[in-house]
Formats: sequence, C-alpha cells, structure tokens
Amino acid sequence: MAGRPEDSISSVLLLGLAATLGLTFALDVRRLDAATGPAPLVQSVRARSTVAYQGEQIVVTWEGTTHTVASLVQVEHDPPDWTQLDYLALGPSRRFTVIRRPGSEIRFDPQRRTGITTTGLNSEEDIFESAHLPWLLENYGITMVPDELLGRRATRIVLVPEIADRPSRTLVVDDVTGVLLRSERVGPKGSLGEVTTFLRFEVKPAGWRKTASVPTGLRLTPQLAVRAATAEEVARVLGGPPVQVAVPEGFHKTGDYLTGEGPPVVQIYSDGLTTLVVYQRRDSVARPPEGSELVATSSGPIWVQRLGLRTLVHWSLAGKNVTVVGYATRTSLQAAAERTGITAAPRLWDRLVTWLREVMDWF
Amino acid sequence: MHLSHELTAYLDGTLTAEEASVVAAHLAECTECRTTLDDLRAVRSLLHTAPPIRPHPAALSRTLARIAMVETRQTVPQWLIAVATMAVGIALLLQLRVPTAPRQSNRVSALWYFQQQAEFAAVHPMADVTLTSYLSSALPYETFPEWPAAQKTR
Repeated sequence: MAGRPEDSISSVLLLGLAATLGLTFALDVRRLDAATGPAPLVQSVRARSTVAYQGEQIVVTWEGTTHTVASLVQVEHDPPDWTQLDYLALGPSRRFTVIRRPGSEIRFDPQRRTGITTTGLNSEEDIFESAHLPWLLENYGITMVPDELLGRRATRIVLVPEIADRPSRTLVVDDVTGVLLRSERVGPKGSLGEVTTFLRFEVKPAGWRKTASVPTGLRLTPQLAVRAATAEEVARVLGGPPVQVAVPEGFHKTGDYLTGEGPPVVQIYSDGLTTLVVYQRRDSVARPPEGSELVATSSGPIWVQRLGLRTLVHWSLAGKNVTVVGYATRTSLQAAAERTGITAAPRLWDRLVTWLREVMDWF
Repeated sequence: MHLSHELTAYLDGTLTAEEASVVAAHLAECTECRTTLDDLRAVRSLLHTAPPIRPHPAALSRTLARIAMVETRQTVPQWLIAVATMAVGIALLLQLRVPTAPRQSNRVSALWYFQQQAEFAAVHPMADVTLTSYLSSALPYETFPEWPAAQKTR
C-alpha cells in the first residue's frame, strides 16, 4: 500500500519522538537507579575525597589456611593533596610508608629511606555513581542496619553477590562523615578473607596537613607507568586483536591498559564492587607462574593458583598467554577459561621455535 | 592325438624302452608326427654345422663386476638408515605435547600478578574506601627492588 509522502514524514517524526522519549526515559531510570542507591554507600565513596581525618587501622588478610598478613596503619588523610599511610607490619614484614599526592604516589622504607615513586592510575571515584553503582546494584543484594563503632553512630551495609562465585562484603560507614570505619570481605563458603577496621578515628579540619611535604633525602626508583591504551595499540602489541575472555557473569570491562613489565596488555573488569584483571601477552607457549597447579581440561591445560579469596588462572589461546586474577572462586574462573577457549598443550616443536626466537631476540 | 615333448625325448634317447616302442608305433601310423620328427632332426643337424664362438676372456669378470655394482647400488648404507630413523624419531618427538611446568623464570611470578591485581583494584571506588586495605594484598617487598631477598617473607 503506497502512502502519501506527508504520512511517511509524520511516521518518521512520530517514531523519532517515541525513540527520543524512550531514550530519555531510559536515561532517567539509570539516573534514578544511581540516585536511589544506598545513601551511605554513595556517601562513603564521596567521603574519600572530601573528609579529612586521622586514625589508626588494623588490616588483616588471610592468604590461605596458614598464612596471614597483618599490619597496623597510621592514617593521615587531608584530601585532595595529602594522604600518608605508615604501615607497621605485625610479624616479619618491614615498615613502610605511602604518601599519595595528586597524580603521584611514593612508597618507601622510612629506615633505609629507599623506595619507589609511581604515577599510577587515577581513582575512578568520579564515575562511581554513573558506571559502577548500577553494576553493583545489578550484582549484589544490599541490606543496611544501624550500627555503632568506636562510639560513633554508623550504618552496617551488607553486600551479598547474586552469583555465589565471589565474596560478599560488609561495610560499616560512619553516619556523620561517611568514612568507612570497617570493611570485611567474606568468601563464598563463609571464610573471612580480609578485615580492615579503625582502632582510632578522629575527624580533622580540611587543610590540616596543608604544610606537609615529602621527606627529603629519599632514594626513589621510578616505577614503570601504566597507561590507558587504545584498541589499535593493544592490537599492535599483541599482533592482532586480544582474546575476548568470557569473564564471569556480571563483570563489565572498564578499560585497556599497557604496562611496562609483565604481560603488556591489561584489561580491567568490574562488577561494581570487585575488580577482575585480565593480562594478555603474545606468546605461543604458556608460561604459568611458579606454584600454579596444572588442571587438564578436555580442551587443553590451564594453571590455577589461589591466594586468600583471590584466584589466578593462566592458559594459552590463539598465540596469546592469558592470565586472569580476581576475587572469584576457582570453579568460576576455570569455567571462564573453558568458555573462552584453551589451546592444547604446546608441542616440543613449538617450544623449540619459541626458544630459538628468544635466542634471536637476545642477539 | 599328436606327440610333441615325447618326440624330443625320443630323439635324445631318454625314453624307456617301453615308451620308445609306443612312440615308434605312433610314428608308424602318424604322418604328421613323422614330419615333426624330421624337422627336429633337421634343426639339430643345422646347429651342429654352426662354428663354435668362444666368449671374450674378460666377459666373466666384467659380468661379475657389474652384478656387484648393482648390488652395491641397491644396498642403503646403515649409517643412512640410522640417520633417517633418528630424524623420524625426532620429528615424532617434537610433535609430543607436554604442558609447560610452572617456573620462577616464567617472566613474572604469581605474586606479581596478585600485586598488580591489588594495584588495579585500588583505583576501584569501592575496592578500598578505607585507603589502606589494598596494600595488604600488595606486599611492598616486590616493589622495593633495593630490599634484600632475605627480608622477603616468601
């Protein structure tokens, strides 16, 4: 049926209007989701860049059944220009100090006065409410109850994952300032993985460390910078497009980066609360890190290693080595590797060729 | 029925008396066999008239040498067989698929991966709003190259 031109124009206009309204509505819903996110959660992220304080924290991490790392940390926080963390490790570890200033961070041994300086990634606080919070609301069930810590009124936020392959998190947020007073990460089987809690907390006026400066006489080694990479750069470094890793459900990619050491391409994923890191290197032979356990799958070998609540999975696919590290169970990351695809174990011939190539490169 | 082989034997005199009498009786009655017998006798007479030819004195040695050469050509040297076998063996060996063993020399250690993950996680807005926790996962030892290895806890 042939219609009049006026009818067609009207139809197009109506469709355009409907699409515009739909898009606007969708954006509104997204904004609404972000805006209606749990206020203490949003407040705690905002507090990091707005509230000045001083305190002492204890940080305990269980890295397996026998190994525990514990540190006592003196904290001086005066955003945005000064944050100093003095780590006094409980046990055989050494003391060290971290000073964060806009765009840079130094870590040094206060006794030997040596350390490193780095220009790491900037915090992603700015995009929390627009990007991470919707993912967090999608992936975690949230319950909040009134609480009290260090004599301060607080809110206890419990974040339980919809998919039981990652840790749940309990946060205790100060009602007045929004500062996170205590954080617990609990594994899928209920084991406590990490605890960070203030033993002493004191709110300070903004600018209270305005005159602070980095100690003189430090011998600092610059650490190779990590920088954001374009798709073209990634393809050039890997000799082709990167492996599209079938990450566990709920994780969203936040960026590609190039590093100066280790596997050169790093892809970061987030489920709104935790970070999953994918490393890729151009190499035909898998190079599993020491201590990894070999797991034979029907497609090929993968290597797995656990550290506390985190899992490392390494395998080879399409001439690239892939290593994934994140807060997810071993089963979940193994399944991710199998969904992505695994190259069979390398032939001795492949290893010989790789070795010859390395010898050639060396010369 | 006509005779063939029996005629040659009859001429050579290798038949028994009984067989010879049977052949003779047949020849007496069969014209065609008698003609064949005459032809055989004629051929034999002709061969006896041909002059004898002596072979060249070196013919035997030459022939033996050529036989030896042919035998030499057809025999593959043992070293060649050994090399070929070894080459095939190596080729098959190189096709073996053996998973790589996890090693410290594999460019980066597992600890490096975990530390890096902690570093990247530190920029996550929800990862460590307490500021301190991320370094609990990223022990400083690996990031302080000047520190002696003895200070490392693992």
